[in-house]
Amino acid sequence: MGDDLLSVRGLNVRLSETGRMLLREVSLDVTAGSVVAVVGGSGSGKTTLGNALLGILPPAMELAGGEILFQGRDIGKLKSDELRRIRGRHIGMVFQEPVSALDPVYKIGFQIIETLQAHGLCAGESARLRARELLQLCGVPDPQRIAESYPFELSGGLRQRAMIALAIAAGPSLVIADEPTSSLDVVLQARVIELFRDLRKRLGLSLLLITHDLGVARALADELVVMCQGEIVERGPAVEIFSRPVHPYTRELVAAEDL
Amino acid sequence: MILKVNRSTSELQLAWCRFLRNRRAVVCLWVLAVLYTGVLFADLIAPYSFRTEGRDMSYCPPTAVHFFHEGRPQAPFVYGVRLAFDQYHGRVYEIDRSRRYPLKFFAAGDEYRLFGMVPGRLRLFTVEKPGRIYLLGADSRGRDVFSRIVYGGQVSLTIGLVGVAISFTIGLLVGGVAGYFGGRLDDVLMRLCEMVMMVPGFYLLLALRAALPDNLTSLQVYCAIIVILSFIGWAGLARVIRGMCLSLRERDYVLVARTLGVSQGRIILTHILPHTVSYSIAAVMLSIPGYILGESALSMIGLGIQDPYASWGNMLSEAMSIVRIQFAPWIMWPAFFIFISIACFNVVGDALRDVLDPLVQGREDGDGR
Repeated sequence: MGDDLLSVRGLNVRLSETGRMLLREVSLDVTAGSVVAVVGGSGSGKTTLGNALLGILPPAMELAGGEILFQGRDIGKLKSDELRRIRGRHIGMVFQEPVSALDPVYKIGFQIIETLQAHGLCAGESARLRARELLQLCGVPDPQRIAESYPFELSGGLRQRAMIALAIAAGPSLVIADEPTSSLDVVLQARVIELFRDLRKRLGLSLLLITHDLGVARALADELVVMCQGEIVERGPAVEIFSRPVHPYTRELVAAEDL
Repeated sequence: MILKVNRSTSELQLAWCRFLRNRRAVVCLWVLAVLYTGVLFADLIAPYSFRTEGRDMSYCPPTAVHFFHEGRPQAPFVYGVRLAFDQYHGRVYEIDRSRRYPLKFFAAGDEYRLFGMVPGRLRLFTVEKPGRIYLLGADSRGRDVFSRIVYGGQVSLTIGLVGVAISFTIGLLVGGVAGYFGGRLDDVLMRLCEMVMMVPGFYLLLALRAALPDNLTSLQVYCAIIVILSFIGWAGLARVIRGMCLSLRERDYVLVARTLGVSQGRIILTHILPHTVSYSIAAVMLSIPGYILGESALSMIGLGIQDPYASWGNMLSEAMSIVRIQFAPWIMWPAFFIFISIACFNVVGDALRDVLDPLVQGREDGDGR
């Protein structure tokens, strides 16, 4: 328990109006430097879980108990300004759609610099250099040119790399990746998976991977959490679950992958 | 103008190219440019100061500029005029062909301080004293209507710009905050907007002006009018911007900015309001006429800029009497300039709205050609 980076205890999320539970008693741990994959079908609450962790639930949903301990602090109960300082700086997030996730009116470099400035990390020329370094780190060719480009000028793969560069810009120790590969073709998927492996090795990044794609989970995850209808039905080391799924839903998932 | 479309051509550049294809709007933009340049250099262009009177030249009709004297070509000049009375004791101005005053270009005239700082006497054109040139006639105290229009434009045309700048800043911020945060704050701000919009504009204008003391200096009055007009103008914009922000805040990049720890204020300023720019540009253009009219209305009924300072509105207060219009129709000239500037702003605003609105981009800008 001591080296848990993130430890979620009995997390509940419900719709504020009807009170319907969307997440029930969800608990999981992410130890430093590990990759945990949350898998499950559509509507299983994976994305809601990811959003709840960073406090970006849509207005219609609310936390209804449970603890989100990050480095020992319950970030579910922080004030919005304190939470803002955690976001980006300690926990980064990567979204599914790199097309809409980057603001179309700004150059890539500007958006990275904005993040650096938001956390008072650096400014001016050093921020510009740092932005280039980050793009390079994420395997963007010709980072200087890309930093000066608008999102619409880039291909989907480059945009996702830029998005990842943005997420790790302020140096978070945990990245929540919500379907980071789902909108990419298989070749780009493989490259992004490779990039995550690389970042994990170089930066010691922990990753909470949210995906419906067992292939991606198999390629990256040390541990697996299987969700079904807002509840965790099975969890454990990835190798074990893939070879000996216990819960019927997990079996179904694993079997579906081999079709 | 043909623009090479390459990868760095921005949306606004493309819109600008489409705008240039609308000839009527381009003409109007030029007219506005001429008007604004004119009033910027009013001291040079006007032959007289706005307060130079000629009590014996009351309602002197427009002076004709002549190029021929007794059949022979001459450098441009004006004849002297003499005040006389007809058999009904009405004033008539007789042209005195024995006195000729050549036009002097770039000659010394009334003193001024250009931009309020640089002292000078240089005027674009003037005539030797005691001759006077009234291009558009004279008002009741023998002041040159043309000069007063040029100086008056400084007030009438700038009030629109400054007023719009202030009320749009307020409107964007209020609309942005209300739309982004939503909830209780949104309710409070929108009810506030509705309260401002509920009162008929002109009466609100009068009430607000009445609330201010009436012994203000002309600069204070100028600022007061701007503040009053801005106070009325921001609400409508705030409501539209708020509606746009309600949908803009759901965009992924706003969510991303939040997960990156960018502060709320900065998100509104950098990731939400810039996306309303195409609407705002057109809305700015279309709302300036309201400010020009508001100032004119206030000044015309004597609550705005006071004599001897000129504004197009207070010049028109003389034209409120039908007898004077009949006797000296040229005191209506300020109305012509108000009309022209408002028409131009409307045409340009319409054209901008057409080219900036993505929904009508496929349409041929038919009537503009």
